[in-house]
Amino acid sequence: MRVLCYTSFTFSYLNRARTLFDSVKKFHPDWHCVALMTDKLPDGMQLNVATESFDQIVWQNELGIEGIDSWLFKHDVVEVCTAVKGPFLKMACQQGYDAVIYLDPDTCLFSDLKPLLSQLEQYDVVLTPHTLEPQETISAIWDNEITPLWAGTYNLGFVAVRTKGDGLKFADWWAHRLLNFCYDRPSVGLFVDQKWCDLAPALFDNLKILRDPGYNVASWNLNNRKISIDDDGLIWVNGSYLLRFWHFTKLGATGDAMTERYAKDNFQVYELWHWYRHQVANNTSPEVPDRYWAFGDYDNGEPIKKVHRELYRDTPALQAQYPRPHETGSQSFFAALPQLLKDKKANG
Amino acid sequence: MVSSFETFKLVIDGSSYFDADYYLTANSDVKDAGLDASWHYFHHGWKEGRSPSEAFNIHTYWSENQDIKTAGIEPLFHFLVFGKSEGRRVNKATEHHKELVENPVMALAFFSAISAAPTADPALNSTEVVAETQHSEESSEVSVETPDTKKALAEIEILRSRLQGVKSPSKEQIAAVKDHFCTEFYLEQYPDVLDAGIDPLQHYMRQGWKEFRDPNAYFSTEYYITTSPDVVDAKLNPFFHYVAAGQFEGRLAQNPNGFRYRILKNLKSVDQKIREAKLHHTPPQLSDFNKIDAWLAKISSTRTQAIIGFSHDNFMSNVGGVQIMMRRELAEFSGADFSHISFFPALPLASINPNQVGFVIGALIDGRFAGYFAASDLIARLRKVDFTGAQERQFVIHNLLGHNVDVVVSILDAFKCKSGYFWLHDYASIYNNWNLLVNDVAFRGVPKKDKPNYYLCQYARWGTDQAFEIGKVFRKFATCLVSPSQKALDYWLSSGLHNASSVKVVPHCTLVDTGEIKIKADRTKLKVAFVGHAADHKGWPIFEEITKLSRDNAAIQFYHFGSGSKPGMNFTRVPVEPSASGGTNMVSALRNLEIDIAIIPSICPETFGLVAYEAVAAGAKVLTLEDSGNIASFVRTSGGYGLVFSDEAKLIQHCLSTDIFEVPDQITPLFHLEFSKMTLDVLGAD
Repeated sequence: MRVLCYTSFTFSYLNRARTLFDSVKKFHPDWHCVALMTDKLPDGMQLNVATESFDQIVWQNELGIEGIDSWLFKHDVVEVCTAVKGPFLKMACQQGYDAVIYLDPDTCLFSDLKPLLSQLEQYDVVLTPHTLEPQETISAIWDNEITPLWAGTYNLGFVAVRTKGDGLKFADWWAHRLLNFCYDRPSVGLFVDQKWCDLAPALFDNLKILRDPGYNVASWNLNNRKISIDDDGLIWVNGSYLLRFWHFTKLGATGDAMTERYAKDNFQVYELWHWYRHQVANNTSPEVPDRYWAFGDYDNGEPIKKVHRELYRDTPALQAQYPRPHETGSQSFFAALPQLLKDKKANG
Repeated sequence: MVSSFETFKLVIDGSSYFDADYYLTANSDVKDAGLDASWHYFHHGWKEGRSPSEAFNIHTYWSENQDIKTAGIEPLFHFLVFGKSEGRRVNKATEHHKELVENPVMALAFFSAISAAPTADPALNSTEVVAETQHSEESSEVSVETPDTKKALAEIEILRSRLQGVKSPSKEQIAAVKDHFCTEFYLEQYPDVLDAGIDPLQHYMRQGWKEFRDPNAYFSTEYYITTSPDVVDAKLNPFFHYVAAGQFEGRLAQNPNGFRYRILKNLKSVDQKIREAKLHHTPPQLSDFNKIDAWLAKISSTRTQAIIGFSHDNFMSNVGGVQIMMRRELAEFSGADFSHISFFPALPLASINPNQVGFVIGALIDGRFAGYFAASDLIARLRKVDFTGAQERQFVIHNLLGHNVDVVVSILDAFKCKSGYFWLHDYASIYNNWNLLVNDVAFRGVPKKDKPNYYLCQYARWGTDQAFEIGKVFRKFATCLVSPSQKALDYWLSSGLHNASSVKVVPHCTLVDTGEIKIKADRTKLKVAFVGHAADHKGWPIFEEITKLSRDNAAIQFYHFGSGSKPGMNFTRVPVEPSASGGTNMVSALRNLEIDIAIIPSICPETFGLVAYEAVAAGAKVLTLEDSGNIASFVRTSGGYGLVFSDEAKLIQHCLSTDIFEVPDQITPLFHLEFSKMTLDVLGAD
């Protein structure tokens, strides 16, 4: 099976993406690995694909998105990195591969994904739920059931599609929705790319909900997944499932807190995290500035606030009037902002 | 932030963070107007600074989250939907804590009363709600190792500076914790307080806690402060808070994730350990070669048989189990007319030293210190010696930790050695961690390259392949591997890394029946002891856990025979240091107190495990783990010497149940330990 595997990120996550693709290439050297980058190269940095573990970089302006400056401005970094996943999936499905697999940059493989490929012989779309078992404590219900109720049942750190049948239909549908409605707005039922896929099992018949606990292990399902490592050096989930990939979400204090809450004394989990931190550190390019994202600021260096983006995306007239909203000339959106915000406040 | 009142209602319903009764009581104008509390709060109240409940003070939320205030966002909805997942906190304890500060006696009663009632709102048990998405912390966390460390240190510094602002405790607060404070523990852990002659309780309550010192062995000040930030916010002494309130609220006094969590949290790379060792090391003054020259002249010109030895430290000045063995061996060599030079590294390490440049080595000649030397000068001097006509020199390597293997090989070359003996006191010759533990936490056999278990290990990632380096000895010289146990030899052979010219098993000691017996004591308490040094890899935390969980069990008296434990815990400490004379202090100490059971739960494979032999010789039964190497083999193959548990959970369970009382036999034989002659038992056998 010819497989294209991609991840979506900005330069701040280059270290994670490198770690991911190191692991992908270790187990699947024949897969075509694509770095989907929504960013610009930091000053003084060079990126040579020949020395990277991925095979290709695709930039945001290669996705055929109309009015790209305006479109980018409507999204914050989380929204945009999830939004581009859709149009790229659609594009990748037309490039002659048999399957396309998306993995978040902060995931990492610990064994091969051959069983997934077997599933893709039969199914056109494969999703992994956040959790596979009912939670037992009130705290866990809040964390791991109520949160998915508004953030999405399936974790979109992973999705696999066949480039045929319902796989193609899914890619078309998801691309359209993400181009138009990939926002972090739980109050209206939206949560970036993820919440959309709650509809997928109803919309697409040939879809597999993968219930193997070895896939997409993360802090939100750790309380039902016991990690062990045997004397042959293999990592197991719940004793009989090989660990396929881990989702190292929130590398830092928050991730640590959630991991500790559910891993408790399952110390093998901390061994995995310890290793992952080391890998990410090794894969970090010092040329990438702290918290770098090329589309986070106006062209005068002022940060673009979320409220500015929301104002712009909620007002089609502004989009028409300011097709390049990050610019800061005298007739710019930036210049008009104080009055626009005042008007907005006055209008409630 | 929230577009409709309906959405707001959906989110707050079921959460006690919105309390209509509280709101109407606190805002009589709303009540008098007959308005719905949540409607008023959503449309007007929060903008007027009215809090939705006692548990959620919007001024506190705003003061801690200026970005929310600046953005004009309604704080309760923000907290419930986003703030929790972002780790933002509600300082709901502040009001209670004011009371605690002002009246600790009342506070004790208050918290005792509420501790009986379960928390009404499930959300109160959940400090965070995780909203999964990638990049959610992209802008706030770039977590590579070094910045993380700096960030953590910076956070600790900020915390420390905040703690300085906490006012001195009241007399009532000090009185409230007095019975929970362990003076013996405090003075032993912090000798500076002892030296200063300060009252330890006063020191802890006024200053010690701000320096993250602990008041007893069961309370971690740092853990409590970092997991209960509301206590710091309320400017309360954490120990007082725990005693008065926290323990009843279900707050924990120590991290519950086990000792392996602690080890992994503090795990350092081998390079870092070497750097730190160098930092704390004062290079010794180099000596002249007079003593070396005189000895070389003797062995090169007479028929004196010479032994070239290597050890990890100066075994004549340091006292430990292996050092005692080596002293005994030295005495045997002297008795057999061998002359003996032994080299040890000036800088002791838990690994070999990959750096040959400037390497300094110490020497003992027949057990007497001969000086420290630049290894390059020593080797140059040795190369000039003419050994023609001298007896062939043999080497005995007890340990290469701290040594540079190229230096070792050069020394042996210069001595024109052809063969010798390599002792398997540890596993440094087959893995980068001498005790075979992966990440210092688990024994999973000899780690195999390219398997996850291997590359997950901090030691495997070291840039030096210790096994390859030590392999230079095996590749260049005819080397007999001497193992103190068959079990250790099996592990070593299974690695398949080295070709020894021969292998021998020489146990350090054997049990000799004395004909004496011990009759099960007719007393009310079972005597259970940990035997040996209180170290993680020896399984000390497992014993500590057993004693902690058995605090209410008056039928067991716990002991620790050895060193390294803390006072103020549920066991009696019996300091036993290895005897410099080579005697068996441990056996007599165990016999004197009539110990029934010795818990020796090593989590790494012991190559011998002398303490298990000592315990059995003293008539105690041994409880150990499958992973303990030769200890498990000894207990199992000898039969009747104790029990082997497949994992520590089973061991702990056994100790907490009545099963433990069935372990001692009515009649137990007592033994004498017959020690081997070490290398002399096999020298020349080939």
